[in-house]
Amino acid sequence: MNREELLERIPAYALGALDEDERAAVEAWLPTDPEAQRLLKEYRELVEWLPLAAPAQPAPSHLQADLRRRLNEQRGETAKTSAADEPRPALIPPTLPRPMLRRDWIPLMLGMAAALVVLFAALLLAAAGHHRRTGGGS
Amino acid sequence: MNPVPELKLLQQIQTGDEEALLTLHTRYASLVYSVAYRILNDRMAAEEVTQDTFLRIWNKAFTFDPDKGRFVTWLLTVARRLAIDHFRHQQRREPRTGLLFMDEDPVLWENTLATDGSADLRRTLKSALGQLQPEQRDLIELAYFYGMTHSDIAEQLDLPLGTVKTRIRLGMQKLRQIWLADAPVKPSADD
Repeated sequence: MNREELLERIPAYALGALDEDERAAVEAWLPTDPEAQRLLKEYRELVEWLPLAAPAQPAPSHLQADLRRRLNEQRGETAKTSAADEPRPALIPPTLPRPMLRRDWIPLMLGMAAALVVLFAALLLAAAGHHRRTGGGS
Repeated sequence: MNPVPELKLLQQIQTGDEEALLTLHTRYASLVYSVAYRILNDRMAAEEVTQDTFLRIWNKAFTFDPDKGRFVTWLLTVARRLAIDHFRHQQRREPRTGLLFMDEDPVLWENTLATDGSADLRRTLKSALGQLQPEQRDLIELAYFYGMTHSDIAEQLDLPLGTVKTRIRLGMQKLRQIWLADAPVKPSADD
């Protein structure tokens, strides 16, 4: 696409009417061309006033009360979310479900069992050594 | 008593002042509703979009940049985008044309825009759009109010793509010429 063709696409670009490929081409070229940027600015200033062409329709009178209600609802949800985000006190064991209690004890019990095995083996080795030093009891 | 400027109200909204939002609602709800209704042609849906627009302002007031434009055009752009999203999700209504300036309440925009200093701009816009050929105006209307691309419009109206491109380009070029020649000095954002 040459510069002339790109300039011709500025009005549709400002309006948001370009298809994806043409839009991408215009966006790639725009930063390199100050005249195109100036033209685009003029079209954008025009386009931003187009909503004023919508036919005037008075808004229903109940909308303001509805907005108050929605703000109240949003405030309530925010308060709930904030409360949920606050740090909670540490849970004490009785509030935990029983399976959690059992699972929490398993590593401790395994550790204790392993310590007992090691201790028993050490005692046996010590006893055997003592037995050899004393001549086997003869 | 002069109305509180929009910038001041937006600052108050950022501090959580709900009354400031309701003041904006009182001032602009009908304009927002008009844009939403133009796109959706459904009262319930237009009401929903109107409220969503003001909740968006409530949550995103900090995103308004007065250096980039006036509050009213920013507000109506938000409303338009939300209405187009709503329209696309409906997928059961046909886009309509030929409705520009068909006011149910002719003084509504006038009165609202008078507080904003923009009433003359609407008259200029109406005059400028009135000078376009209907087929150019209709395509610009479809592109702007329904977010339709050249291809969307060509398919919708069963027209050659080149015809759609030409009509939109010529229509927009003419609109710009008239706008630049006739538009009153646009009030600055901080008036």
